[in-house]
Amino acid sequence: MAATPKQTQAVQSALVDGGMSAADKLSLHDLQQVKKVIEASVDRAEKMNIAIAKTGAQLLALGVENATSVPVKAMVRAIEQNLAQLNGLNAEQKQALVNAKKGVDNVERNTSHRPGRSSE
Amino acid sequence: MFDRLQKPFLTVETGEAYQPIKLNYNLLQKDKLIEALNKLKCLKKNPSAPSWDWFWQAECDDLHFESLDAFKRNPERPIRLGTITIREKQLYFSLPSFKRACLAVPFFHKLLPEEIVTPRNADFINKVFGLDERLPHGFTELFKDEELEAIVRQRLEDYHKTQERCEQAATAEEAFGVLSEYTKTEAGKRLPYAERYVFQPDTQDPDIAFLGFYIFLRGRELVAIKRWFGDSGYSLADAADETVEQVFGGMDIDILD
Repeated sequence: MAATPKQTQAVQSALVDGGMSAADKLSLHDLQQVKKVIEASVDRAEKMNIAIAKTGAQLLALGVENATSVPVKAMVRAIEQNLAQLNGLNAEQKQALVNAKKGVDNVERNTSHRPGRSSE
Repeated sequence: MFDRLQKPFLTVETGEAYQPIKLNYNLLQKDKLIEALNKLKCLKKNPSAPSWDWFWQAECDDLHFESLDAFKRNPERPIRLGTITIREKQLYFSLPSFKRACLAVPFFHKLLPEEIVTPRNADFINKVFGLDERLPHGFTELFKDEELEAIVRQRLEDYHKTQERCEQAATAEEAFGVLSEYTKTEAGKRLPYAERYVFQPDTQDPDIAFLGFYIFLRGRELVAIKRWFGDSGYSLADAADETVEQVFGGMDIDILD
């Protein structure tokens, strides 16, 4: 998968708009990879947190544990750890990821309505 | 089925579904309890029996029923929320809805010290009633102590087996898989007609414990209402999912602050 000059320019514009100074050092491919990694990890954490919360709610609904019990507390801690991991990125990393997402989203939006998209 | 889809179920004055529930307390100091109950202005003693009617007034005036925002309360005729009875070494609350039970437990927890009474369990029915349906006359005919205890015992035995499997699991992920499979299966089963909730003694944080009681009853109320409207496959697992959705929203995790 290669980025056309036009797409690269679009990504760069988007990144500059997003306030990322090192935008010209990143290729579309890099950005897409970054975006995929971010989305996959967020998706994993979301799914895990939902599974943990559902199981906790079901334990309470069954009445075999109450809300102050050790297993339920452990589950709440696991959810918090998942969130903390996601939120553990420093400000620079967060900004880079946000910009990368924004840049790729812009390129995809700009090219999606055209026939014969070369970036996909 | 289609008849039922058109029919509303029976509700109480405060708007929620009629579902009889009986709260059972251990009575530790009878004289002090009677003294405490007689002091409360929201209670009115029945002259011929050791029982009190609990009204929506005075100390409990600010209790809120979401289902009833448009209701005009008449201070001259306060709504009776339930009945409190002392029998031998027990204290009973007879209430007509789960919502009232969820409000009663924390409300009376603040007013009645643990040295006097402690909540033991709650017995209730897993159904809503039609407007023209014959209503149960008393709780005794509905709640068989041995049957209710057997259900609780069986459920705890199954859970303890699952706990053992969790402890033997090689990794935390595997243990969680065992636990979530158990809850999914158990919460997918059909609920018994009558059931019991057992309060945990020595709870450090009562407010959180009351939240557990609310989740327990709220799930069952949802199941009863969904089934009334013909969703026969709706289970406690579905209700728990809805509760999670309501409490946590869509669990959207945004890396943006």
